[in-house]
Amino acid sequence: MLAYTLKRLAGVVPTLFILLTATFLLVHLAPGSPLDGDRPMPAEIRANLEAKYHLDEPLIQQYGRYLANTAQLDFGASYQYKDTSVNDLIATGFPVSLAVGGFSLLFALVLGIPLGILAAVRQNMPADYGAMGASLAGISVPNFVLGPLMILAFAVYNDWLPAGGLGGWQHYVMPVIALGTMYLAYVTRLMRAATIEVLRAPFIRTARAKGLSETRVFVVHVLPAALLPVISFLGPGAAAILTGSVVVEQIFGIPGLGRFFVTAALNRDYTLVLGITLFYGIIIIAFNLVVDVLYGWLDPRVTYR
Amino acid sequence: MLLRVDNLAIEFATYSGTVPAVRDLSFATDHGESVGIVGESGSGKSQSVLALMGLVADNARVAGSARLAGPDDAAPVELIGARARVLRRVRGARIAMIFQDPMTALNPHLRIATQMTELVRTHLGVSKREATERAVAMLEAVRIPQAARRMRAYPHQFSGGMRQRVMIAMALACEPELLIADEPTTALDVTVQDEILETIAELRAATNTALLLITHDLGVVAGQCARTIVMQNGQVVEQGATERIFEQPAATYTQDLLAAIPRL
Repeated sequence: MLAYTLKRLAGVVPTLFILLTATFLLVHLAPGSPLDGDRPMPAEIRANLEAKYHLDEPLIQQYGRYLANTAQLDFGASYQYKDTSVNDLIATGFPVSLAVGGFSLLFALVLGIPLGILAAVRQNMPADYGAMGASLAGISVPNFVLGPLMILAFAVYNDWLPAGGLGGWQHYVMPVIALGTMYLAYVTRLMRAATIEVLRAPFIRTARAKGLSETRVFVVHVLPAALLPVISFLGPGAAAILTGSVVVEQIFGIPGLGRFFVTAALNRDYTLVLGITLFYGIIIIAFNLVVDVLYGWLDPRVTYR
Repeated sequence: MLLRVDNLAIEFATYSGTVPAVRDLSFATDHGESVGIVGESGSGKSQSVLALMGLVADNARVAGSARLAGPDDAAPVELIGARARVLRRVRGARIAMIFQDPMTALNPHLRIATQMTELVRTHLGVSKREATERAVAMLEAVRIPQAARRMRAYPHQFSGGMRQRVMIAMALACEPELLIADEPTTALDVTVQDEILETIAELRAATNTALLLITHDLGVVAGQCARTIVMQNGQVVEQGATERIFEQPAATYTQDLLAAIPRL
């Protein structure tokens, strides 16, 4: 397992290299420049700034410079936020995104797992139809619809929750529901399907034939097997929830990483776009690795090579 | 009499109406006796024994009676329609079951130790250590080499034959009065088949356990069972002493079955 983990870690570097190269080319291919503003800039000032940021150099030279800095984990200075490094922006934005994303994932798991089990145990009964109907709605309604609707209902027409910004726990309620609902729906459906399948497995019949209590059959025999698909969804799911908070952060005005990402792309803030993309890449790779290792621990049939 | 089944009938409620699976099955078994149930696929033999354990699917309707003699001349226990609590005290403790496919009948996520000791602890109420000792002794009885060490293994680390041995060890761990074996050798190699049947016979003899053996292999019945029940389309075609059935089959279906055995 250690050898497997090390092997997977060795694969991280080339993956990130490809990601970095592709993103670098794409942002530089996009029309416009970080120095384009609302008003045209005098040519001398523009030339000076381009020299300062090395934007006058050939692309290949800029690429080499960026690569060398990134190798030392220095993502450079932001073009947009004066006197702030990309590293600083990630350090301030990420904890905020992590909190919103983490609570959303928790919301999805804590509600989705029991709901999926309930639907499976009451298969083809009203509770099942209710849970499945709700989860279909949850998957179908995008968070950029759900978010504004909630703001209207709970912040505008009723003064129950703050419409945006960050402060106490009340500020988290709507963003977490907006971000987590789709994942809640996914987890519910995954858990339902897996539980139904495991309940039909021959080894569950064996467990019952042994005279075990229904509680023990469920907790010891059904649950661990039925949780496996949810666990494997957790890797890409957690990564998607952290990187996917872009829209929700925009709607609720949350100063998280996703918000920086959007403004950086709009402002051609090359270094910030590249830095956040790489950072997201590392998160996605890390979550997948953690889940793969966790999966082997839960399913003894999985062997690592 | 250990088990007495009277007019057992099973129907399945499906979208396209009610499908009868078993009609009017009656038989009896005494302590230590061995009864074979033979028949083709879909003849209702598996569903009949699952009904005795209360393990039929939710859409099954079971009628009739199956009485298991109470311990020490107590009143017999009615198994059909019994409460879950009653059934749980019978399952694994008084009637144990071995299934057809040992590859899927054991839980792939749990160690052999867990699967064996949970049964022993549920029914015998012993400490974890005593349960482990009992489990190891049973694994040794079914000739699992290095039994104590193999307790920590998972089912996928065993061969098919060894898994079926584990199933047998588990089934007999609480010394049940009746062992139901539903096609115990069908999924195994021919060479392993004999070993498994031998192991069952050996352990059964030691504890005077009755056997209800379900198979479509007439050769297996001939070797293992004193009495035989032949089933077709959910009904008993004929039943009686195995020897008589093999030498003078009364029903044409039994004659056809016997004629279908390939001869060398």
